[in-house]
Amino acid sequence: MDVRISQAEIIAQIRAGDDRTIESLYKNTFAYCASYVLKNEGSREDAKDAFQRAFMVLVEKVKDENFEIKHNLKSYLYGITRYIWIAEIEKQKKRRNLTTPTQEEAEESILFGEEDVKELKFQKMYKALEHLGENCRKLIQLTFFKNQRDKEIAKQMNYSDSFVRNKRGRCMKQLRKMMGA
Amino acid sequence: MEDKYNIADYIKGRMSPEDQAAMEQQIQLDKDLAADVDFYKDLQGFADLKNQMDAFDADLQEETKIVEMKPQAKVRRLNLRRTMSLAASFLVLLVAGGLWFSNTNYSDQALSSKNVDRLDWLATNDSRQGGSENIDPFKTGIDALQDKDYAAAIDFFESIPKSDATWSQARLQLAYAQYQSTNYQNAKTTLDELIQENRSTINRQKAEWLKLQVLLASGQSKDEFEQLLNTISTNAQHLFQPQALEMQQDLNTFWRKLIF
Repeated sequence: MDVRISQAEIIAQIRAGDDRTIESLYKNTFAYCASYVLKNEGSREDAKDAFQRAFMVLVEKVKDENFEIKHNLKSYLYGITRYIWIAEIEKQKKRRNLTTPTQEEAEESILFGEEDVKELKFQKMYKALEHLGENCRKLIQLTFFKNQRDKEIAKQMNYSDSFVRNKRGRCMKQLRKMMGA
Repeated sequence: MEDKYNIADYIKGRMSPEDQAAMEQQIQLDKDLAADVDFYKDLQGFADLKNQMDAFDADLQEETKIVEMKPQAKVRRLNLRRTMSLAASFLVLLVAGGLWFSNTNYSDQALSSKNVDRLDWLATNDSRQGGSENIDPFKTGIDALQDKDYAAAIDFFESIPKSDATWSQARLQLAYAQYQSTNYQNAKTTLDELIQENRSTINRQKAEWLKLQVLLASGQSKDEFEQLLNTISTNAQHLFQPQALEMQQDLNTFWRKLIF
């Protein structure tokens, strides 16, 4: 079988927003990619976060028509998951006294071209949402993740309808600023 | 950035046609508003993908849920005769249970059936990629499959001509109906034709996986079965590689070796 054609077809399906292909890829690569996090002092929740961020990288990169993948998708996702988890360990090692990744691991990550991962829109969004104030985060969560209407949000947050809109506008401005967009 | 135009409602398609038209006109005139709308759309895209991934993760967790073991019962001191008699009874039960368990879970038919039952794209109304939810030309055939009327399903899916864009999907459903009616030879022929046609990689790989189950259930063509299982399990790009690896483990399990 021609592996390159097969991979190109999967990429084309993801680009076209084919939910079944996205689901199949996610479910068939999760365990393999998560194993790196689990072997390196991460919990299942850590593995899920790192893998989901890696998956977002792939989905976002695939939208670019010029995107060319040098590895198979499973290896690519594994490489990005590893890169994200190494960065997370670096961040947490002082707090939790974790083992520092080896130089070799760090260098291998760069080989996969993850150095520009941080510049991707979804990655910036992920980080910025983590650091947003509690009320703004809740408002954004109810609006975009829970798809609630302003009336429901106003009731839940004890705001007036018009305040929901104004507050959301301010929160979005803050989020955009945090992303440097 | 202010949400005075209610951008959230606009990107979610919740505006009246008049308001939406006015909004689109305003976006053309106001570059800042256009940029804000793009940002709202990006965040919605992010949220949709995150929700989708969380749903996949919930499925995975459900599939791998670990059943907590019950605490062991206290050990009691038993006399020799009672111990021997209990041991003999236990051995008889163990052998009988083992044979029953192996046959129920690890026979060729049981393994094949387990793998086919997991294929959620068979005998369902959304089995066609990109198909419309409202107009489903497969409805008659799918209804027949769901009613276990395999003869009617076979008649229906055989009637889809090769020139039809949905031919590949129809052949998969046809092979499933033939498999369910234990007509393994016809199911194999149907799938071989689909594999040979090779109209799309995804459908070909689905056909290969289904053919593997047909070969296993039929108990014939052992060499062809082994070769196909090896092809799928060693191909990292194959949609069913993880399932094929799991199948290899199932085929080599202690319970299977016990009687097969």
